Order: sequence, then structure tokens, then C-alpha cells
Amino acid sequence: MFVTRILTNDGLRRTAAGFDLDIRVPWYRSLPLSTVEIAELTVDGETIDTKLIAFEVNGKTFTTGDLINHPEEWWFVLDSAYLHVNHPLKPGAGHDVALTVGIRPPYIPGFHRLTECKKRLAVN
Amino acid sequence: MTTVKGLRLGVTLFSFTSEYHGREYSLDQLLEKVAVLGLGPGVELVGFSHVRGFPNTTDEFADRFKSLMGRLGLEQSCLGINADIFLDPNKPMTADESLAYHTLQVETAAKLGFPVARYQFLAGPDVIRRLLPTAERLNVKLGLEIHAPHKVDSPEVMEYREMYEKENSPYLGFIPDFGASATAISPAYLRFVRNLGMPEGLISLVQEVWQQPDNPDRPHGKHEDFVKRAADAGFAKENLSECFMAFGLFSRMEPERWLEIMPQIVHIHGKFHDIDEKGEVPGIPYEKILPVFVEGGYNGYMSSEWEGHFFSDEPGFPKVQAHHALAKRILGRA
Repeated sequence: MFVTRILTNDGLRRTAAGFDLDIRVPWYRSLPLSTVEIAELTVDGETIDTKLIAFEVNGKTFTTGDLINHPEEWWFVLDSAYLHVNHPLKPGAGHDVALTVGIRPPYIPGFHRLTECKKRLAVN
Repeated sequence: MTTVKGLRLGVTLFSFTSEYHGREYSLDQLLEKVAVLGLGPGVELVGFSHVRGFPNTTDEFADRFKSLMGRLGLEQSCLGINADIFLDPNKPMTADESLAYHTLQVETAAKLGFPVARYQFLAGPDVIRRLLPTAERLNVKLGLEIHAPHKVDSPEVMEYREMYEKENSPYLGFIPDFGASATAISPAYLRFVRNLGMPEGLISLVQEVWQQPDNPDRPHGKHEDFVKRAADAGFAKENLSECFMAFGLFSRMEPERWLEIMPQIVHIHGKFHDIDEKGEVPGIPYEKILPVFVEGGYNGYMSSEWEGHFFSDEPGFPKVQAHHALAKRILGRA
């Protein structure tokens, strides 16, 4: 189920600015970025402002608010995207991460599906 | 082209979404396993799932794919194409843009050797009418998928039937999805939403509204009624998006109704979400549905389409094997 695969099991990395997450598209097919929404991220119970998150796919980086403006950029169904989070990660080897990704499949008008994936992730 | 007549079995690789999205099997490995397990010969792909760069493709990919299919003794049955009218959610495609988008997908279907392209009703009859010369030139039949909540006589489907009658081309057809002939919401869906923590009162409301008589003029009417009643009852909005699926995956058309369009059926989606220990599909009466297609003289493939991966992480291959066994039993080929 997509709900179990959005957060990749070995996908949490500490960075100078905070941390990165390796994530998967929560649908069976590729989607354009204009139909993808990073709706909510909480780490260890703390909600992180989505303005502090950058979204990278195909080697290109977008602000989360700008995704809707990119119908030409595809997130292939097998590829990871990366969230670059400009917010410190608490010390410790394991963290509780909950990510909600919204999609609007472009052939189903009015369908806005929010999927929340919650995992305890080890820092890699 | 095969010369076998009647209803032939096959599979859509959509059934193996867990294996594929979960990176356990590549496209090539899925095809190899389909061949080993004898789940062909018909193989259906979803363009936007299985072809990187779709609606475009490369000569190299096409050559490798066709050569692998041939080596494995499999046959291209149908390519799923999409009416992505809302690529930009705020600015739907114009008819000309949609025609160009569909043309490219049909060209790719031809390049990959598919005789049928499954399209979606959002394309619109006028775009499909304009796409017809391309389909005829490339020898790819266009099949409108009739999927829940639509029926053979829903207003949106009737617009296509009227256009088909005027054009009178064998390249214009239909693809039934058997989720449209359900008798109940699949227990797989109900287990899933219970596990998500959806309130029991809301689950009951979904089932109650789903069981009500259909209004043929309002295929989406039940979902609209449900949303209103759920909001009136004070249920949280975030639970409602999963309820949409119950009305979009299952609807209740009597199997005999497929006879009305039988000569125009070019492919079938043998949809199921669950298969029990007796080898039956709860909520979709295959024992009534398949004889209708035998009686109607259907000649073409049925892709076994396990969609339970929306609701479960169980592997798809045993589900499809059980579905083939069910179809063979009903068709007397066991």
C-alpha cells in the first residue's frame, strides 16, 4: 500500500541544514508535480512549516508551494523524490516521522487524496 | 495476431503494483514471472506506470520490450492511456491540447505493439472522433473504459455511443470494468478503512448510500448524496477522501446489461479486490458475468485486474493465479 511506502525505510539523513527524507509517489503511476502536495510533516511530534521544506526530483529543486506550477515536470513512479528540510533534527539515532502527501490524479476531477505515512526511522 | 476465438485470459501488470512500486520486481521481471506462472498470454500495461517518459518512449525501450514479450510467448493486449485533462489543476487542457496528448499516447501504443488503447471518458467524444484517423492509420483500437460509477447507458457513455454510431468504425470500442457490476462493496476495502480508523458510523453510511437504487442520470449522485449526509452528520472531512473510492470503484449494474454494447467490446478488465479461500470474488458475481460474455460471443482478452493492492500489501501473483483458476472453472476450461 502506498500508505506504507511513502517514507522509504532507509531514507532519513542528517544534513548541515537539518535533514533529508527519501519519499515515493503515493499512486500507481507517474504524476506531474502540479498534482502533488506536501501537506504536512511532523517529526518527533513537532509540526514543521512546509515553507522550510524543499522538494527535489529529477535533479531539480522546488519550493513546496511552487509544485503546483510545474505540470511539465514528472515524478516517475519508481523514482524517489527528496525532501530537504531546513529545520534541526533532535539528537538521537531514531525519529518518529509522519508525512502526509496529497495528490490530485489529473484524470479524476475532484479527487484529492491525502495519504499519511507514519514511521520510526533510523538516521542513515 | 492470434487466431484463437472467444474470451482469452491475460493480466494487467497493474495487478502487481505492490511488487513494482515496492521495487521488488522490475518491468522485465514482472513479465518473466507472468510467463513462468502462465498468467498470459495477454499482457496489459499502464503507460504512465510501466513506460518511463510516457507518453513518449524510445526506440530502444520499444525494441527491447517487444523482443522480450516475443521471447516469453506473451502478447500485447491493451495499453492503458489516460485523459490527464487536469495536468494543471487550475487550467484544464483545451480540446486541441487533449487531442495532441492522446495522439502521442496512441502513437506510443502502436510503437510498443499494442492493438488496443484503453482511454477514459474525460477525453470527450469530440476528441476521440478526431483521434480516430490516427487510430485507423496505426491499427490501434480505442476502447472507452466503462468503470464504476458508470453504466452502459450513463449520460456520459451515451454521448460516446451516439458518436460511435455515426462514425461506424471497428476502431471505436468499449472496455467493461467488472467493478461496475458489483453486488457489494469489497470486504477488502472495508477492512482497509477500518484499519485506517475510519469511524464505524461513517462506514455504515457509505454502505447504506451505496446500496440505494441508482439514478441513471446521476452516475456520481450517490457520492454527492453521501458527502452531504456525512457533512450534516458532522464527520471529519479528512475521512471523506477514502470514501470517494467506495463510489468510484464499485457500482451495481446487472451483468446482462453488457449485452447492449457487446459487439463493440474490444477488451475487458476482470477487476477484483479480494478472492476468498473458495476461490470466489466477494462482491463481484463472476459466475453470472462471464457467461454473459460467452453468450454475447465476445472475442478478445480479459485482463485479470487485482486492485486489492490499494488496500493490502499481499503479493498480487497468487491473487491473479486464483482469478485465472476461477475464470477457467466458469468457462469450463479447468
